[in-house]
Amino acid sequence: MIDLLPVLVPLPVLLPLIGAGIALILSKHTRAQNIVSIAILCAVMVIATFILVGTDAHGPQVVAIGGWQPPAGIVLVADRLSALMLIVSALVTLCVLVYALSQDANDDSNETPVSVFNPSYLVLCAGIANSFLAGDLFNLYVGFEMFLVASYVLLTLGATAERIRAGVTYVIISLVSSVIFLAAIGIIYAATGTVNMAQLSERLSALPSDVQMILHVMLLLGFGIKAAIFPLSFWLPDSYPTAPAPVTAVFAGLLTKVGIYAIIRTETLLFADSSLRVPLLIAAGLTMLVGILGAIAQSEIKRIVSFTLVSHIGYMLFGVALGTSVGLSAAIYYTVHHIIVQTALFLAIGLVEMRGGSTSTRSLGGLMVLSPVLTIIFFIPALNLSGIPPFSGFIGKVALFLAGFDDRAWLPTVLIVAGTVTSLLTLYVIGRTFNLAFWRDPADVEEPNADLVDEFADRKKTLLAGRKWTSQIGVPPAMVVATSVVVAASLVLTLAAEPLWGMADRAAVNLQTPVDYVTNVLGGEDG
Amino acid sequence: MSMPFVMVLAMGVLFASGIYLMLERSLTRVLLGFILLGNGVNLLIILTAGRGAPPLTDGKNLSTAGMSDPLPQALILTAIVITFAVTAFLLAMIYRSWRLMRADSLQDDDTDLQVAITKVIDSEAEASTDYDDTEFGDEAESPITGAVDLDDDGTPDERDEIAEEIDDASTPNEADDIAEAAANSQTRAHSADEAQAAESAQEAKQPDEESDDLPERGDRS
Repeated sequence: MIDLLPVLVPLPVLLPLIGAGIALILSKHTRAQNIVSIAILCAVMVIATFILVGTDAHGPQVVAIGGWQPPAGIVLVADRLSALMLIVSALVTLCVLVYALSQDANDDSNETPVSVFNPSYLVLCAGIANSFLAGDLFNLYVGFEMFLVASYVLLTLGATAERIRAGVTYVIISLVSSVIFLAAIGIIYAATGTVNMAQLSERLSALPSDVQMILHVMLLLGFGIKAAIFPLSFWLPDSYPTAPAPVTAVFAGLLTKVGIYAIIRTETLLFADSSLRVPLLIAAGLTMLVGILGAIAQSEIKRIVSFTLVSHIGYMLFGVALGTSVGLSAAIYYTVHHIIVQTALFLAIGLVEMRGGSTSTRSLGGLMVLSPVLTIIFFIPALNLSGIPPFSGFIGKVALFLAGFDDRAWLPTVLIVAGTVTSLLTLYVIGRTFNLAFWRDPADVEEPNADLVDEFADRKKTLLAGRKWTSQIGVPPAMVVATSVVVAASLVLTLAAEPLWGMADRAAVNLQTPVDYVTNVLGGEDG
Repeated sequence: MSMPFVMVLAMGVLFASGIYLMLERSLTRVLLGFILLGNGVNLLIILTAGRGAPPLTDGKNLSTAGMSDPLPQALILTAIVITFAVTAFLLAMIYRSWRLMRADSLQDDDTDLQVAITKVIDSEAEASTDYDDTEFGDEAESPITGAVDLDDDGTPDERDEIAEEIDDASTPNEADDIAEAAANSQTRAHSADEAQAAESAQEAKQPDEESDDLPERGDRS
């Protein structure tokens, strides 16, 4: 088992890439392509489980690619945080793929060409895995570019006018963030002579503090754009909602969290004695409040949820900026929770769009009567997002607030207040959306949808007559199942809160002692 | 490791002009800006290698003295390839945007505008979305002066006519909607002025929704 681990570590990157190649070759045979993609992601999921169990039991796994030993060669490092992120991303990408493929199979409009979708999606998965496993800064950049380029393709699938408009903003903003990141790598190399994160951890602290500050700010800017932190978050609600539902789901769930992951690494490994805690805390507070205020103004469910996504990034940044062990473990737990819940919510919205023909609260109504299953699927992650007690959002928020109180300073206290307000406003936004789209009579809405109105009246009539009623507009069962699995996973986060919290806690302890990471990468011969 | 001043200066100029161009609303300029910026960063990385002999040995004398650092050269190769691929994608996307929108500038988000408009129900607010701050004016014909017009559906004036026809065709439905909206807002609004404004807002929105395939610029002029 221990001998096998180093072989497993590169596979989450390699397998999807190979799969992408096979999928391209098979682009004429949709069915074969789908089978390959799903099989590959299932395999990644199993491998990620092994890596998680292995790293938890035997410590970080370091693999030198091509046998070139660090610091000269490229290393992949799987520690507890990487492994945890890997398994969550594997679960989410698998469910979203199933959802997307069954949507395509039932979609006659041919708006999303499957032959392009599968390879790009697999490259996206490989890029995300590479970012989580990267042991040097340049490899992290390559991972970022891999999933970014794939995301450009996925966001502009079908190249309709609306998607191109949104895609232009997204691509240009992402390019700016990549350029800043790359420039930071160049300057870091000039200053320290290495891009290996373990070596950087030792050498960066020896630099003059002003040089350190410049490098630190450049990295945070690059990652901050990706993670959608307040002054850099404006692009997200503009570009995400136009993409196909499964694409938005995986972007919202994972891409911003890769940015958060990179920030966690920067703060704990590269600049462990960070001098930017206060600005980060302020940015976290503003991200929460500005994001949720944006959500209140919207009337389209996809855009509302995109704004809450920005808002809740603030919680994770809060935990990271605290810099304490409890803060970090809360941030990690919250990140895991948020990936799953946000994905579930976007998948549910995709179903709403399919069922109701729109995602605007101005034309939706009566979905509670028309589709009770869909209502439950939407309602659980929605409550979870706003942090209602039995769900994981509540646990994550309580953990963050406790970590804030531990700090006994005024700024974290202000942030706790901001976090509470944000949480309440999220509940308000979610409650309003639910009232409008699910509870209302569809005839009462601003822009009535004739199909919904007729169906609603029909349904009421048959129910009063005591007959069984089935809808004409079916939602593919595979999509409902895929969404339900993600929703169920979010419930498991509550039921298995203790082991997960323990895992997050151990990961945070690892992060607090970067020396271990350094000796593992540079000193270990077992890699 | 000493950096030649001229190269540092060149890098600075590339960064400055790249950022300046990226701040433009015209997409071709943004692309040019990105290319300059990308090359500026590449130059930055290659400068970190320092000057020296090529990192090659004759197989016998393995001394590395006087050689330039090979690692930045490896890094820059990756960076150049990535920049190249992304530039190609961006170019394709800008061309697609040009084909669809008939404009070489960043488009406004309709839903954003809608949110803004519903907040201030005012015919002035609708008119103000019409701005265009590129030097090409409202009808940006082509990024290259004198280029062949790729329009399949004729000149801007002809497109306007088509848009009007569509308006006429949808009149029965639309008339109902407008009447209803006006009636609703009359019950709510205290003055006839506001009802008028609501009506014009409704009217302005309708063509946008129905003529997706038509150039939006044409509608607005």
